[in-house]
Amino acid sequence: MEKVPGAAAPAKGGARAKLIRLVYLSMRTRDLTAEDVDQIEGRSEANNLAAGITGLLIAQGQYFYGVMEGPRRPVMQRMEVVITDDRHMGLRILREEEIVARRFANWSFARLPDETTTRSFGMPLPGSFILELSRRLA
Amino acid sequence: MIPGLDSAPLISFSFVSTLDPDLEDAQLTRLVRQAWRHNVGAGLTGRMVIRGREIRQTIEGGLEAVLPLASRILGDGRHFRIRVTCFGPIEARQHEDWRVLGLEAPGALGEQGPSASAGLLRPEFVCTDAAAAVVRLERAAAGGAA
Repeated sequence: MEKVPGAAAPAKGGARAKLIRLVYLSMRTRDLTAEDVDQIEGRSEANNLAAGITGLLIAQGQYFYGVMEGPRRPVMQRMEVVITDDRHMGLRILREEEIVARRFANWSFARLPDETTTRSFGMPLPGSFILELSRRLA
Repeated sequence: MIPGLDSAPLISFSFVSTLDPDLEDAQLTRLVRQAWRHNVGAGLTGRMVIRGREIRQTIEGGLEAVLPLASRILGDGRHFRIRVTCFGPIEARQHEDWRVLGLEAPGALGEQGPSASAGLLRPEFVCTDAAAAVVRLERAAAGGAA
């Protein structure tokens, strides 16, 4: 979860490039191994770093939840990659909006224990973190 | 490990953010006070370090307490330029309690504090007791502090 170089600098494509924020939710298509998730983390960081995209990606249980911020074109290009990634299904764009300034200063990845793990401790969550966060951001 | 609190998976959430520059001192006071009350009450541990309008926080505790708080923070429009530095499971807490640091700095309420690259807080900036820090902040906000 290192700082994304360039994230604090003017957006790629020029300081006047319009910024957008995409909020999305998807479900994994299969059980992912730790190596699969490692790969997703590594690639998302490298690709978003190169594209000047900030935000976060959260993997929790069967869900992926992402927030991408950056110039429209690279964000849309990255979104196309996610949409066509066969590890995702049922992808929903929860929000697409133009923004004046980035909310996130870096790109980060979080791997959270799923609700099944939580329930095993006898403390069910009122709703998954991802869905809760999507309500607040979207 | 805090007995009685750590039966659930432990999560740590750390971030740096810049507070809304239009946030008034009294609002900052309320924000800190609310955070302190909530976090102590929820069995959360960690640190809140304030420098001017920059806030660095590490929040650690059970999954059921950290995740709702993290979602509120990430969705809170008073925070700008959030840099998430850690978000995930931990084996053990790194802090024994919840503390607020940096509130004793003269002028910290209304002026820009030291830059983020300035290194560790100087000793005079450190407040070792969150409750006392909140009281001092409230007095300062009310214009009663030296």
